[in-house]
Amino acid sequence: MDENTILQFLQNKLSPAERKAFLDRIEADASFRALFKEIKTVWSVTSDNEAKVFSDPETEFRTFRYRNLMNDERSVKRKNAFIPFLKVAAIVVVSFGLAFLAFSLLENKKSSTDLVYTEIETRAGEKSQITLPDGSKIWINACTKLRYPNNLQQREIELYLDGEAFFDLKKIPDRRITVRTSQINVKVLGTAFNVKSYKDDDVIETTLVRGKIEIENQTGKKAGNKTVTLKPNQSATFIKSSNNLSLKEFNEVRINTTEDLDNLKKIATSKNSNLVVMNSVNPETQTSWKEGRLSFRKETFENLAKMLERWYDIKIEIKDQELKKSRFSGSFDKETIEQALQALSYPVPFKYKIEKDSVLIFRKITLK
Amino acid sequence: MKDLHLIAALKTDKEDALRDIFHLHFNKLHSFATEFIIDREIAREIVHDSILRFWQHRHHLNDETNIRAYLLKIVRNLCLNYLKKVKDDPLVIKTEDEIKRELDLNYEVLSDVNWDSVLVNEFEDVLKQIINSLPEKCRRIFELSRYENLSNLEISQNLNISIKTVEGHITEALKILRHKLSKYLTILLCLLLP
Repeated sequence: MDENTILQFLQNKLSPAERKAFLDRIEADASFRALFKEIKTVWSVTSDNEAKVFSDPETEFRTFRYRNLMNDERSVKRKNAFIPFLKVAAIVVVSFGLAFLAFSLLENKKSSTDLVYTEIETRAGEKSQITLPDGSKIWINACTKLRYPNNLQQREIELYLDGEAFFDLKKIPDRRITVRTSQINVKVLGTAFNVKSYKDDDVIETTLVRGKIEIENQTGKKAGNKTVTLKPNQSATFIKSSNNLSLKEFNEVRINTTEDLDNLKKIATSKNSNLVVMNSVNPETQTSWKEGRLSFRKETFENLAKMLERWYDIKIEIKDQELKKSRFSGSFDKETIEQALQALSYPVPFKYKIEKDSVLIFRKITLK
Repeated sequence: MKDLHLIAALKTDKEDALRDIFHLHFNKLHSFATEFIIDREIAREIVHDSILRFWQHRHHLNDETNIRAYLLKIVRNLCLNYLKKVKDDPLVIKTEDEIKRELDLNYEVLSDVNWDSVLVNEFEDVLKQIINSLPEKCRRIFELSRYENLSNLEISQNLNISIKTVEGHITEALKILRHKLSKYLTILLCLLLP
């Protein structure tokens, strides 16, 4: 039955051979073609998969705002209106997997754009997600600056990160991508990983979800320099406070357990190391922020406060030294700062005072 | 109507109004564009550009504007631009044949003049009425498939019927929609003709 075949085609149920036969028939048979056009029209006007949620509208809104509405001179405004066709061609060509050579020849002529970068900056409480013309996706957490070159068809691509981002990068033969942070570089071919490198944190954390990455120190290419390779579900924590070491080389320690930040630092100190690799972690905790969830595991209040500051765009001051060392595990998504603080104050009792854009946290004095 | 307030808010450059546009319409537009563009990411970029055009045009909106219909019009135009370029561009001619053929076919479907009357303010209401007039079971299955994104298998398991029966109901729904819509379009075309 014709209509059923058309349904199968629209629902993507045909095999490649059947698909080809279907398209052949569409071309040859005018009445079948007319029927298809009518059904496809109905099909597309009733296409409304809000339940499936292709993308999160809030994230899309923020992306849009970054690209088009922020007049902050640091954030480069995207060119008006329609995607330059070359980029579109790039996606088509790449995703169709052919004519790649033709494209790169074409692109080479435009080498003057090689050094043009786009910079995206998020503020506290904000997140963004971008899709690069080659289909690579980057999620950008709060208080982060990310720079990427507009021309992604070069052999060596350098991205600059100050803050936290999750990268899901397309693999293109002969292309090397390096993510540069304040102290280490992450070299990748095509893979998915999270890098957390905030200026005011004393560590840089890299977690690999898929593929393979190499971490090197900033002197980079110098011969004989040691690099550290990560496999999926491994994470590397670079300790910045051992600063002068970082410029020399990595002294890596590998452990098979999952430890919190404070323990990692202790391990590093005891082994005279500046880079601790955990051989098996659950990347969920490090990457859940991109799904809008702030997860933390055995985090000290001091560290958690920093995370909450970025997440909620608020200043937090803990007035008690002992409280700073208390540890928390859990996650927040839709909670307001007030609800979050309330939840935290169940396991470890404390008092808090929320002012306009700051929170003060005190010890709870219990009278017996 | 809701749009009236939203339009007023858009005109005063309220960012929250733009946020509402994303929450109310982005997924619908994305889903619509993807039907024709196939590649979700390109479709997503087209929707972003469409909303940008809409935003730039906000001061010229009038109170009668149905925002969704208006956005769909822009998305349709930008999809057509894109598909036209794919159609004519020598670079993509050698790309995977089946996808290129499907995109060209989509261009033909989307460039049909009927779309001018499909994307009018009242269309969504008419569509809703027609869907509501479907036989009960047929309507339920169609909605589960199209709006709640269940696969035929999931629907068959949920309702304890065979996959063939599910397909039959969807095909039947499409048939009825097709006939009723074309009737509606003919009337509309007659009304629009001078």
